[in-house]
Amino acid sequence: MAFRKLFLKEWRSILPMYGVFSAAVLLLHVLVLFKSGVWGDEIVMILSLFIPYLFAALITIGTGYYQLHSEWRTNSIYLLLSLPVRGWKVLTAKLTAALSLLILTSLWIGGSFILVLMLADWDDWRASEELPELFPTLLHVTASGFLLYCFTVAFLLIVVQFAFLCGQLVAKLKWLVILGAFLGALWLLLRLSPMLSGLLLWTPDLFIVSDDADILYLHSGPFIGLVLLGAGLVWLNGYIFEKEVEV
Amino acid sequence: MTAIDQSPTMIEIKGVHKRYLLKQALNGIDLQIKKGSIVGLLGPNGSGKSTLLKMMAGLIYPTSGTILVNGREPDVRNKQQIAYLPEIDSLYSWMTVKETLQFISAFYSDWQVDKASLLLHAMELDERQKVRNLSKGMRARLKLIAALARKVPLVLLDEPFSGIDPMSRAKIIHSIISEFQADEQTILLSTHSVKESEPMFDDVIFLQNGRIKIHDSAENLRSEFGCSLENIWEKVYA
Repeated sequence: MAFRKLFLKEWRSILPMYGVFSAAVLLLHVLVLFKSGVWGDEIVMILSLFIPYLFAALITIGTGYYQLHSEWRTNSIYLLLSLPVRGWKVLTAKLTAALSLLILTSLWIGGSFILVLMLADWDDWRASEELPELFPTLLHVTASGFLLYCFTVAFLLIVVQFAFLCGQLVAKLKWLVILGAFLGALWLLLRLSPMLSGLLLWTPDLFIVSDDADILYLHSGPFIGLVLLGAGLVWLNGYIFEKEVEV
Repeated sequence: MTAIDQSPTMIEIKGVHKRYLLKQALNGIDLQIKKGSIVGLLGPNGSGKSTLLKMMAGLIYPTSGTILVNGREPDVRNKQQIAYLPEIDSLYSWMTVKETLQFISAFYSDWQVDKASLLLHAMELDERQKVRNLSKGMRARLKLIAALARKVPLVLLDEPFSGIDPMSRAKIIHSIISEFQADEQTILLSTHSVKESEPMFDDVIFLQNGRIKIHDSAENLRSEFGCSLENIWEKVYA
């Protein structure tokens, strides 16, 4: 109940931002639809997919910082700290709210893009004989790519939370501490991950393309290592939030 | 009411110091507050009242010394037994009055829905109004509802009358007195409005520069000094 309330509170507070962004993406795709006859395929792909997904990730990471910053700015941190809730739960609620909105926005971008593409090239799509054969592979690649995308953003969100909380431990030079903590944590985690993945050699491989002719394998060790390190950092963030930051 | 320690002491503070970067906020505080009383925490700005209350609420921790609230150190679990009202505005401005109370109530098993409704009516607040549209006095009343609608052993109120008009102040004092559960509850209240709040106090603590100058029952102080607490304030801080 407590976690659900925190999650819903976070969702409501950041939903407007994602709503505005989604509307902007829709407008962008409508613009692309009208200009698709003039612009090349590469420009269409960059404008329709790459830039929206990049901005969605940047907005989410920025939201991770903003969620904590606004608690301190509006003094609602007093309310949060006086609640009988563990620090990691408060921070996980923020994390999951931002990630869930990222996922929904990503689905929106994808859905809007497909609609634009289909509207622009409907005749070509109808006539294509390769599409039914390519569809499962396309789906697999898209899903794997999306998973990696969300994984990366989640990881960066946790590091951003850590950096912000470190900044709250000092009275002066906060920005310097936040930047140092962000870069330091990132460097440390990326150094520890290969060592940890070395211990996880026995874990199964991940395959990206399920086609007989072309299979790409990735060892799951680094990903599991990053998940474990991320979970550890979430716990540390919770400890700092609960015991170390002061108001 | 959640399970409480059977000893007569609600708060026990031993040798507590609190140091910030350039300031010693609390200096060797030794204090025992018994259960079932309303205690006034008085002192000028910067005397350490808010720091002491935050420490009891578990928002900050002492640099040295020990603090026990209801027999245990302030932590997450202890917060179930404490209602803390900070001096500053700490509510979410985008929530309505109703949403604010619903949000807070979700975290406490001791939340009394009927009492909250009665207090809402008594404080004359419109539950549909957003917090950002409430006046300072109305926000103070809302914060008080959030604290008093719970059945907890300890209520900590940090300057509940700060910046409040006399009418709202009277409403707040009336609510505190009428909702006080004697023998089950302890209320610790910091204020500059000594004259209006004096009738409430069983015990009084005068703080200055992070130290306790006087700690005694209100009755003893009045008979010892031969005047009201407001006049004692002037003598203590002269």
